[in-house]
Amino acid sequence: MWYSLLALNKIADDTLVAHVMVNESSPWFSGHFPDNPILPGIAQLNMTADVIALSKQENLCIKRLSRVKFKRIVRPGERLEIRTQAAETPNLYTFRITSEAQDVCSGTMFLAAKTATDKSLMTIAIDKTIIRIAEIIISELKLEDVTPATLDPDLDLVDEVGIDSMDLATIALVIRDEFGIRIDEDDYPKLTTIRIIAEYVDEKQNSGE
Amino acid sequence: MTGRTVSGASSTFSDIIADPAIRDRWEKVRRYFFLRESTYDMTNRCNIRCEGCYYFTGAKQFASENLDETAWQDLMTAEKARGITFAVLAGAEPSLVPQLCRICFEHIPLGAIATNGLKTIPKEIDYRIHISAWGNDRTSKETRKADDMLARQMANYQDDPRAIFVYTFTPHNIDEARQVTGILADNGRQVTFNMFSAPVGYQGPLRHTPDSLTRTGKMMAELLADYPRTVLFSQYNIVAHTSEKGLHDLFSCTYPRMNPSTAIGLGRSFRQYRTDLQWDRDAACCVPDTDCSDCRHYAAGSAVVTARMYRHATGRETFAAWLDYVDTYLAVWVRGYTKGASLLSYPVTPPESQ
Repeated sequence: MWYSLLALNKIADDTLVAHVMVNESSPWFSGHFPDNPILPGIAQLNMTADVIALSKQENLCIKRLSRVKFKRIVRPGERLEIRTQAAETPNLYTFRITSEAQDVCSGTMFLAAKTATDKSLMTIAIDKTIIRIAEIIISELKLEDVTPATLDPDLDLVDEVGIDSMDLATIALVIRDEFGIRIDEDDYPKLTTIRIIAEYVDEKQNSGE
Repeated sequence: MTGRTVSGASSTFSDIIADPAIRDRWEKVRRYFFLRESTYDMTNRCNIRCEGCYYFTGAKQFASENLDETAWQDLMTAEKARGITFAVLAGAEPSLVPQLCRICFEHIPLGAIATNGLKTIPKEIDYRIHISAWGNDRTSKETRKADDMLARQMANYQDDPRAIFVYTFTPHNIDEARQVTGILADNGRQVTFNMFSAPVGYQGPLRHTPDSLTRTGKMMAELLADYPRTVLFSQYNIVAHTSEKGLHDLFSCTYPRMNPSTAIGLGRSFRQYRTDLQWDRDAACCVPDTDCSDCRHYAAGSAVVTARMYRHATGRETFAAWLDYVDTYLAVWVRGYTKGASLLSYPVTPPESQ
């Protein structure tokens, strides 16, 4: 285990509080980053999902993330408090991670029972198409306070991110280059979420277009 | 005017913008992608009556005036809230209601006003002012029933950086454009070009013919070469506005009137308000009641051509042509924007839809 669970308490029907410490020997730190060890955001999300799964005694994995914000870096050996609260929607949780009363990370996650065919959290994390598209969008639109891992792939880019047709055309051009696919002029206005774009790219690549 | 046909080989976008001149221009114009326009008829009155005037065609001329300043403030507040960042004040003659123009400016600080220039719009309304010219003073007298128009227009907007003249070519004033452009150049003014676009059902003498389109394109190219500091236009503007095909046939018009999609872009956000502050999606474009098959209007092109970035990004030349068009559009419509040197000195043929 790359972190130590120090305490896990259910302080209300819908609220959990856990205390964890990130071990200095965790393999995360050797590569993220050499000579500048920082706990990746995805590892923080993983710990949060773990404590919820543990309290429910269920085998759960993350299905969807939204409004996730990382506000402070985590160094080896830090002690963190993870607080989660169940929403009215089943398996939907808001969470907040703090370190010495300072916000580290917050957001909302939707969990589901892990099945044999489910992608693991790590697989989600390295879903290259979604992450690469998120990187392109963040870069082209110069979005701030968001990372490829925290940009919700189901956000509507027009209604919720506020981009317009020229931005979307620009993104389509960069994606066309990046993935070596043809995107019809009539198609790009329909590519309104990162997930829809990723599915479109996969389909085009699989069909050899 | 026909353009040079570009070879069919497609370039990647990164290849295209690897050219430093193209990249610089791209970075310059993309900062204005936030512009989202709507247009507003300010009054149903005008102090002159021009033949072929698009305002006094169709139903909009019969809309009652709403001069209630509170209603206009409420409208502009709502327009800003729904994301409109550029106001175009037109029909019939906005200078007759400066108090309403001021309200628009106070709420949406970027915009343009189309005027005949016979009444000065107060300086604090810091929109681009488009002053219409339809030929020399003799022709203006015949077509617009007003004396000494150019002299009066220039006097009203002496040393006014907001002002730009918009010369509308008809089949009958093509040669006069040289005289008018010369006068404007001598007086340190700027001019851009518009094309008479027939209202629905209009079959009068101002409707362009293939011959008049060719002659107009030739005259535009000459003036662009002879008065580079006076004329805000580009080779691609000439192609787009003097082809036998109108703008819709060349570029597929994106205004709601011809574009049923409400998903994104103009089809989603554009509205054309009448003087009673009502709008009708089925009629919404910058020049309602214009015959779409004959539309070569400069305002229409400013939206329709610029919206087609994607189809122009197939090669260096077509993308450079598009950038020249957008650079011109911004210089004509946005206060403080300065047009750069054109990237292309020759025309290219508009690309087909990809």
